[in-house]
Amino acid sequence: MGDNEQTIQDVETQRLLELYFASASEPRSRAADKTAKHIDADTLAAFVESSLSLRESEPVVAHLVDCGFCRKSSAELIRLQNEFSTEPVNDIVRQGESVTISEVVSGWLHKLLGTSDATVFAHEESEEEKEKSEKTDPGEKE
Amino acid sequence: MPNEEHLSHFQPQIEAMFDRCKENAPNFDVTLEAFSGSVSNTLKRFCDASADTPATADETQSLFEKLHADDLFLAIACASGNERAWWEFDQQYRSYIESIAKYLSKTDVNASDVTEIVYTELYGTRVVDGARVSKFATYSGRGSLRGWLRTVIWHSLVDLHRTSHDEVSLDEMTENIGEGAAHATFVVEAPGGETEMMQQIERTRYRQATINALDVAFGTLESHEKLLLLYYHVERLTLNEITRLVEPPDSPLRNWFQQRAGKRGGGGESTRTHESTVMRWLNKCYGKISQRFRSELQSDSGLSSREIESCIELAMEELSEHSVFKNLSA
Repeated sequence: MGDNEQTIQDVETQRLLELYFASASEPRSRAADKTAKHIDADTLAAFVESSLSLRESEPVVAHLVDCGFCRKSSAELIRLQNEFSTEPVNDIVRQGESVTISEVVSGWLHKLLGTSDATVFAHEESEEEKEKSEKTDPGEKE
Repeated sequence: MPNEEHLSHFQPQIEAMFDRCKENAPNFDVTLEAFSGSVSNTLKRFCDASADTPATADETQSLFEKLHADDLFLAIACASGNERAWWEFDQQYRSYIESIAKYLSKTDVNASDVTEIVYTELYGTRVVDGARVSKFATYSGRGSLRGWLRTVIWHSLVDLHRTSHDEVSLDEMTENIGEGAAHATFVVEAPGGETEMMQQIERTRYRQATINALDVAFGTLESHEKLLLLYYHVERLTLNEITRLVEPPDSPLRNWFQQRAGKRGGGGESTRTHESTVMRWLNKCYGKISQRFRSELQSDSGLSSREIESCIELAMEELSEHSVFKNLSA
């Protein structure tokens, strides 16, 4: 078969597949969704990152073929991973933002843990900084 | 090999891993017992993942090597409610969670609501046997904590969407926003006179034969080939997105395709995967389907070459008439 003929046949097959996915088989596979247990978040996340072994991936891939919900979730997660893969990791809080973020975070932690700001951030301030703040703001001590 | 044997064999490694994590985060108050317990759960899940194929010692070794130990250490500490760990988590991941939530909740769901729900879930409000159940306890360390968080956020958003849309089920929701929206079928028109009725009967026969043959052809593909086609044609992942999915040398999908192509696989080949490679894999799948589709129509439905071409023509005609593509992209 020539290259052109092959290309035409591939295009034809692609279009037939579009038809196939949009009609007969998909509702059948989706019907299986309702009874099957979905893939848990931990496994799905590891699959999307290609962290699972071939052995572990086999049942996952088989499930994704049959379960529209998990497949859609995995596709969205793949997009999300690509979208955020170039974003710089915000590991270090910039000095200028620290007060605001600390305030917000402390609010969150207070809500979640029921703790006071002082407890949560006690370890954040170094002795040197503490001394410095005491020197520059003596009024606070009173 | 049973779990206990596995664990005792790898115990020195677990302890070394624990020491490293402890050194990096001495204030998290994670005990060796808690850490070993969590790794043991991960190992159990790993062993149970495929009942037919027991894990080899090499595979287990590889699992330990790839474990995101520091992420797991942080998750264990957060699950137990350690304040320092929560502070660290907040510093490292809060803005990331917010960015993801903002990106995903473009429409009617408030990103801050999603963030709040995720935090609540991570901390855990449910109490079982007097102990708080934190979502962090379900993190195994197999993937990165960031990847796991993305999935937790996505699931939270789905649940939020469901509750805000009169308890629409997950399946219904998927159908509304995804490929399910395209329930395009061959539309059968009411027949007119006798000739038209005969034509209609013939068309119906061709339609059924086409769908059946496609069903058989698709069914003969291996799971990884089916998934590739579904990602590309149903989920509309681009070639670029699929390429990035299979980019890691250990990608199972990539290894399966390479194994079938007679190349080395399963061992983390470090050559790059290009979009053209993925296109080649797709073309191979098209080739297999096309071949099987035609032979199925010929042998099973007993159609002649001319009739097979009629089937294809009919399918193409109906495709363009009923805008299946338009529906699919909706």
